[in-house]
Amino acid sequence: MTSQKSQNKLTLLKLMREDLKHRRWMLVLSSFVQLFFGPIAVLFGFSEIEQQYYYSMDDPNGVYKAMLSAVARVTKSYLPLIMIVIAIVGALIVGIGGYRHLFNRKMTDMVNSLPVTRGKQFDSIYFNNWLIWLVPQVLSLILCMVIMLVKAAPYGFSSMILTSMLFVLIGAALCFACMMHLVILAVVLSGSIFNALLNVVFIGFDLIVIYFTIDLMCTACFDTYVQLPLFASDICWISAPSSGAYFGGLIARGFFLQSGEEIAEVFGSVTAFYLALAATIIVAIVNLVIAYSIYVKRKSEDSETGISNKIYGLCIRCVNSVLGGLFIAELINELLYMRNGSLKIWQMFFAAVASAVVFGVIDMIHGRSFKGFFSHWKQMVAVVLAMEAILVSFLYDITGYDKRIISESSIDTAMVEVYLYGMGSDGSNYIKDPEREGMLIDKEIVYGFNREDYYIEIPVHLAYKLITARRVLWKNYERYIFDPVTRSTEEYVENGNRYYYEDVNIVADRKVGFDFVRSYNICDKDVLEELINVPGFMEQAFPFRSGELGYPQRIWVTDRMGNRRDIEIPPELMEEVFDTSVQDFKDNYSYDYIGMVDRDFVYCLECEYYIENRYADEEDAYWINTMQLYLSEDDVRTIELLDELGFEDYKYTG
Amino acid sequence: MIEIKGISKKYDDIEALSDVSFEMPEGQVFGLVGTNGAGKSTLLRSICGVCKPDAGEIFIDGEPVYENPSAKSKVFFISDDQFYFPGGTPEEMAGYYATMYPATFNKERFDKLMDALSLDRKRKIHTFSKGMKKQLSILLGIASGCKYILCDETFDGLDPVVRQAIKRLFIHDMDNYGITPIIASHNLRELEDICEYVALLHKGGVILSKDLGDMKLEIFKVQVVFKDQASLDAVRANCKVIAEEHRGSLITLTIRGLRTEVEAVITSQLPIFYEVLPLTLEEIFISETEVLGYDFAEITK
Repeated sequence: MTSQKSQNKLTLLKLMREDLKHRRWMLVLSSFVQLFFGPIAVLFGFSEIEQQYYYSMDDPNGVYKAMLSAVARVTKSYLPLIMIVIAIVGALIVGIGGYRHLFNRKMTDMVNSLPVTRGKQFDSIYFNNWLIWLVPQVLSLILCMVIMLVKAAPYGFSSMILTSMLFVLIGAALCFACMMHLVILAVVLSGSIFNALLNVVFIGFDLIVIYFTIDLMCTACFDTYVQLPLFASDICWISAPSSGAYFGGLIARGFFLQSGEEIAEVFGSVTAFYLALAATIIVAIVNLVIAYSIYVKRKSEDSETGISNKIYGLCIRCVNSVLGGLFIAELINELLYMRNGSLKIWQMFFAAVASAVVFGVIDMIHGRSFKGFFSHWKQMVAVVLAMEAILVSFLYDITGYDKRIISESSIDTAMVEVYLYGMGSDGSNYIKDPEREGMLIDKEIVYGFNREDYYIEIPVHLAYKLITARRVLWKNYERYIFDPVTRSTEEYVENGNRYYYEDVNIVADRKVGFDFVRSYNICDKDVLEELINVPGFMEQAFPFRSGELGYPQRIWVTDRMGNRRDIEIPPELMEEVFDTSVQDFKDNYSYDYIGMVDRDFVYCLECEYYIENRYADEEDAYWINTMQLYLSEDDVRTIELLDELGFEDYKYTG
Repeated sequence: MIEIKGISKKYDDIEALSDVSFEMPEGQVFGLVGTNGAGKSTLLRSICGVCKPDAGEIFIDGEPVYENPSAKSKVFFISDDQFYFPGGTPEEMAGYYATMYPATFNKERFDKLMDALSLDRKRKIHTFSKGMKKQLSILLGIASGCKYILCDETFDGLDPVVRQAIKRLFIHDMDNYGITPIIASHNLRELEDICEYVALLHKGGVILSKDLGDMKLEIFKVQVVFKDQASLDAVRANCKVIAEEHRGSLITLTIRGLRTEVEAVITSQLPIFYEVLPLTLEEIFISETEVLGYDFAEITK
């Protein structure tokens, strides 16, 4: 038994030796690149810092800080970055180069006729791939470590450097493993190198492209869709089922960051990082297992064909064909921006063309023949029709996404997103100017800015009211009022009844199932009043808190003709104008006040001011923001003050 | 012995092999003959474990061959266009095969044979001519020490002198090392010189698989001149006439059966002249495939 085992080990090592003999160039290249660029990155990082060190020679604390900064920059930025790039490119080269025999029928025949199992053949190449990357990597990191220790050890950073090097190695190894496994999977699914490279892209990016295409279509077609912020961990999750590989680098960042706070900032939370890390590792392992299974069962005659796995080929054609069609439909939407219903027809037409072209081109590449364009024409027709069905379901909201309501009893807790509420300048709060067809003007009067709390909790019954409140839908730029209770719609009437609305982003945490997240343009005054009167809401929603707004720099005024002028005003008076307007707002805030577009302006002011940036370091403690102050008759004190200051000539109303 | 049991193999819709069964006895040169696309190469690739048959199984000395290093170590496959590592030399290839066949590869013999054929061991293989590459592949196969050497169109591209040398080498190794060359070829005259056992493949199936000597004893060409048509009809009725050709009064008949029985029938008709001639392997092949409808006589009409 033992003898048999040792015989097997011997054979594997011999196979590895033989394989390595024919891939010496990879080892040489890997050694050169890693041993050259690793130390260069370290020296580059320290050379920058040495300049700071020079300037702070007299201050021991400054020297320490400079060195700390140098070590951190090298270990968290320069060195990891270069090592990740090398790992990813290296994995691509060794992954394709190692299994290159699968692209050559003569070589495949020769390899498969040898008295070695395919599994062992796979293993020998796989382990060599690791050797080719890992040995130079370790040597390079040792060299980097020595350089860093020589420079920074006297300042007490030895343990930090040693730990960092270990994390760099782990992070780079994770990147290498993820990428190599993906590449091997792409290679075993392909019969030629070109198709293998194409598959590396398809497998790696298709899922993330699907996500963003759906996101794009939802944003374009659904009025109530809310684009949620993405953390690094979210991207890892979205791509996890297939392309964890590409985001191995993203995950590896967690190792380089090391501290929990930094990890949380990038990944949302430390837990999210660990979960995404686990998912990435699992995906990498699964990719390898699938690749191995396909390799040992792969038919010899699949070499030199375009694609070796027909089912996979079909999936790739179909998925990318649909994606291509939807993407072009959205592109047409962005480019033409038509004001009539014919846009949908053009969208559907160009989407069908794009979908067929994508399908045919991939078929051509897979079949390695120009004649291959229509080789699966029945599939092509079916896929184009399926794509059109998906497109139509988006364009006409066949799934009822915008009109969907949930029951009050199904809501556990609910929140309203404060950052986007009312004050948001994210582009979603525009209305069509009736005087100038096709032009859009910003309805909002005050720009919001970053806050610590993005959500404010609201009662469940209010959440339900918001969900079922009358709201403006303006899909395809034709406004109408939707009444969720009666499920009926009526045209938006400009003259006569005028519907003003506020943009409310709501997150309803349901007792069972996914969160219900929607963005509503609510025009029900009573519901909005109730929202405004939720305790603490106004304080959270509007940027008028002591010490938060400050440092006004200058004020512009816009007159009735739309001309914008600088107002010559001393800083102390500017602050007085500003404070007075804030006081007016606090005294008057209500739905009527927010819906200012309903009223005549007396002054239209824009105030540029500095605000504190809580997340920046000392150098960027403040950033400039602009607030629009459209003063109406209710802002009595501010108007009086401006009148006293002699700005009557600038009144909007004349 | 190589046992082929009911193997079938399809490439998409094309049936390369269909329920093929026969045996390849060891210690003899086995010829694999067949029409274009008959499945010779597929059969060889299946025997050496490159292809996995869709159905059936192949046994080498009682062991299944697919994914079985023990069985595969007894087989060396010389393809019609052997692969060599880019930039490789014969010596490097020998080293590679020495690793793959550690127990049997004979490096000294390889060197000796290379010298005998005046092939440079250190020269880059890509600078070799097609014939030299062919020679190298055969020498690597011989040096591998494998019991079964599978040769796919191996004699193509070799000059007559080398061809004879290789044949002698095969015969020598059969006697001294117990190898069994299995040669697939279209050149039936070449095979006839060396093969003792032949299998005829046609459209993925085996027409016959026999000892070549026995085969020649069971099929004859008879040139005969009869007095009248009735004599010819009598022969047709009493013998298994596969093919018939008329040139004036001289009739050439290809007849299957025992020679004594055939001669008895013909002499009973008191022919003016008759002569029994042995068939070449090529003639046997043509007449057997014509029976199965593989006839291109129409092409000139």
